Amino acid sequence: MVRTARRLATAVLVIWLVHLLTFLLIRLVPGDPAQQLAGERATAEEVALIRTALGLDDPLPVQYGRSLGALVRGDLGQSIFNGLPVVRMLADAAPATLSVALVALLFASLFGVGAGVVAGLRQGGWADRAVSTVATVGIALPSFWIGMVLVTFFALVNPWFPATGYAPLSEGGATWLRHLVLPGTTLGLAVAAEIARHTRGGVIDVLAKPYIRTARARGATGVRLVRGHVLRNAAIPVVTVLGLQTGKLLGGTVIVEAVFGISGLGSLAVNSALERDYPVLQGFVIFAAVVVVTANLLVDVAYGRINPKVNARVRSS
Amino acid sequence: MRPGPNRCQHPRIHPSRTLHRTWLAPVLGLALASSLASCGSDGSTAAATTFRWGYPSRATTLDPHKAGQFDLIFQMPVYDTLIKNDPESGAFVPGLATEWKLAPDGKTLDLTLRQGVKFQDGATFDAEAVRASLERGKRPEMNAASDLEAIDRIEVVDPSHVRLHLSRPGGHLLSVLTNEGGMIISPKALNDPDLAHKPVGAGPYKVTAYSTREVAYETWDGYWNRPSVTMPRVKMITMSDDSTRLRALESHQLDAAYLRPAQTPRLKSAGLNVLIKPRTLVYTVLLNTSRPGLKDGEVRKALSQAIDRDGIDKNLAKDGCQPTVQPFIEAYSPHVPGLEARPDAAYDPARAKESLAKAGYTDAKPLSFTITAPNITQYQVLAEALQAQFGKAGVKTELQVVDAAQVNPMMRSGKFDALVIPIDVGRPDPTTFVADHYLKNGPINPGKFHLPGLDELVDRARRESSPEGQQGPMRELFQKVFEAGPPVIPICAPDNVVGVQPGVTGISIPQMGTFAFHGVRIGKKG
Repeated sequence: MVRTARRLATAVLVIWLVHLLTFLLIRLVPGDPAQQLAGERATAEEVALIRTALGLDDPLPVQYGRSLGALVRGDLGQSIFNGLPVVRMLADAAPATLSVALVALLFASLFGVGAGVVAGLRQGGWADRAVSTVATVGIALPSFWIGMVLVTFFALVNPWFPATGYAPLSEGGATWLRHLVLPGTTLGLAVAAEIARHTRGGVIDVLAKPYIRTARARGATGVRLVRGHVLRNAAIPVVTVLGLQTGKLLGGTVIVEAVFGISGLGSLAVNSALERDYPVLQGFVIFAAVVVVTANLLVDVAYGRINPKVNARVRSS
Repeated sequence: MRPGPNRCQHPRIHPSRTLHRTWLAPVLGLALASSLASCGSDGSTAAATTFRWGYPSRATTLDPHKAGQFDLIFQMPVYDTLIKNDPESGAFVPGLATEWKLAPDGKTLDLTLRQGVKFQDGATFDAEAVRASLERGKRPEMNAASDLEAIDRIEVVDPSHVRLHLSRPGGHLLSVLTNEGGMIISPKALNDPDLAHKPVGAGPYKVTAYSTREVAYETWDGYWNRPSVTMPRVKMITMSDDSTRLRALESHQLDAAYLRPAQTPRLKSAGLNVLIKPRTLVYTVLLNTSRPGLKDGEVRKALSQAIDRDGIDKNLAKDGCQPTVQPFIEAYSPHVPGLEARPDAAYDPARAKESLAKAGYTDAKPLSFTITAPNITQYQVLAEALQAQFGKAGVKTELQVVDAAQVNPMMRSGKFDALVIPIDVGRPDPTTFVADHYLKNGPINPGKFHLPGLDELVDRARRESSPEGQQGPMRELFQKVFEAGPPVIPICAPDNVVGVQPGVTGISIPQMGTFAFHGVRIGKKG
């Protein structure tokens, strides 16, 4: 109970720090939303009036207090440009991004873990070499290039999948998934490569442990040995990587959304940064921080489930 | 216990079942993908009644008075303007105003309003509605304020007549009234805080969905000119990446898209129709005439002569940027005939070097300044080309790349030497470009460039109510500025390129203003 409370307190602290740093950083960057709003032909007086109307000429502590107070109430403010509540804009954009990220994560987990296990079990063999080579290439290739190649072959030359866009689940599960296959694969490829390398390393490490020899001596082979003794023990580094990749997936959507013409959180973040739409940009960063912090909490919980010794160690300490 | 130390040294397992399980998921995934791929096409079946347009910018707001640079296209379907431009000739044609008359001194503009027009919320369109809308647009916190600032007072003569009293000659207002400034908002919606995403006008379409990705429109049956509307639904889809728009068009996810000149060959090879037309957007170098050297007109003329515009067109724009030494290309009335043919307009780095030497800038003591460009690839590349070309004339330059959001404040504050930027010289009208950049108190004239007689020429042009009437004073003005050394050096006018699916008709690149899609038809091939 105390541990959970401590974890939650740490999470809140992290989110507050992110909020504070974002608030300060976006105001340090040159550029002014009032200037953007006013257009190139506005006079200095007109710009000043807009700045006052937006509350941007208040002292920074006053602006920050207002922003923090609103955050505590769950209000992320309104877009400077279209007046829409930031929460609504995030809610509109999030399904597309989270769907792409989910498919990418599933793709990465399936192929990454699968390929990593095969490579680990066949260390030094052709399968291992093939997986290692593909993983290195997968990490090295830029995602925009992978995306364009996939679109060319699977949307233009062979019109199997849509080249661009996102279809919400309300249009049907199959339509939703068809729109996600190419962007999800594009985004997930580098993560799959990362996971494959860590899984391979973990499997090789575990196979060299004395308890594997003991298990073998007790007659465990094949599926029983892999599932019961290898996978579980090799999973800790893989789960760690998965947690770390959450942030990367969110960041990666910026490029994937541009390549596939998907209007999600990535493009929302880019546009709000270019337009200096402070509330939207801040709302996005807070949202991303919450997602990453939650992912890390889940990874912590998963450690205990995968290996009960972790919980025991924490309890004894 | 089984013997097997070798296995521990070199763990070789025979995981036939494990492998089967491991591969099962990917195999199932591929099977699922195959079945998804066969689910059908990409949704183009809905195309016959919905026109899907791909555009690089998003709608930041649908409030015409707060519009940004690229919002006009998203607002035009909802809001009719008082005056319209003929798409082919650019001439003024009736909109919500059926007639207009500018007084001989240019200080009064009388508008006769169309009768029997309703707004989409049922409110009546009349002189009072026009007054209320224009007064809102004039409020200092509105973007439209600078366009409407010449309006001193709005007089409601009767329900179908409005008189605009102007502080100075205002022929340019006719163009302003074809843009955001002339979009009339329903009086019931003027104070609606949701106006930015729930617009209410008297135009042919109502907004059915607004998001950062797309704006969807549906025909409004109460539109006064309903027979002119052939397309039941329009979707404007934002795709910031040029290649993405092209791929969406190639895969029939769009019916038409705004593209880049360099994409023309691929469009043609894909069997798509291509519309190409340069308009009033011009790539320019904006010079700060308060800087040493750049305040000298002969130096500015030398810099203009040092620019190899044909080379830029061929090598950077792949023949997609029409070279020009003056702000308006030939298709527009302020264009000065014969100016390009003058010897002092030709690309001539040797002559430029001579002129610079006469002004006191030699190889030993070269003219030097910084070229600033926004962090957008095409302008950075253009700035690099200019650096090399100025170098041939003995000019030393440094490059500075700034965030695009910094460009407007830089222009206003004058914290630059030379700025590579695109300028729409025709928006809202040609005299506005002149007033902004060439008149002493122009908002984008940080060096206070000034020539005797320019104010009078602008006033003369603004006493006229047609492009033909404005032509004389505007040509005289551009000739004068060219001879004095222009503070804004034009480089070339980029082509507007639109890719269109075969079978889609009724779409054209307008001479002035923005695209209109209500007359689009999608035939069998679309």
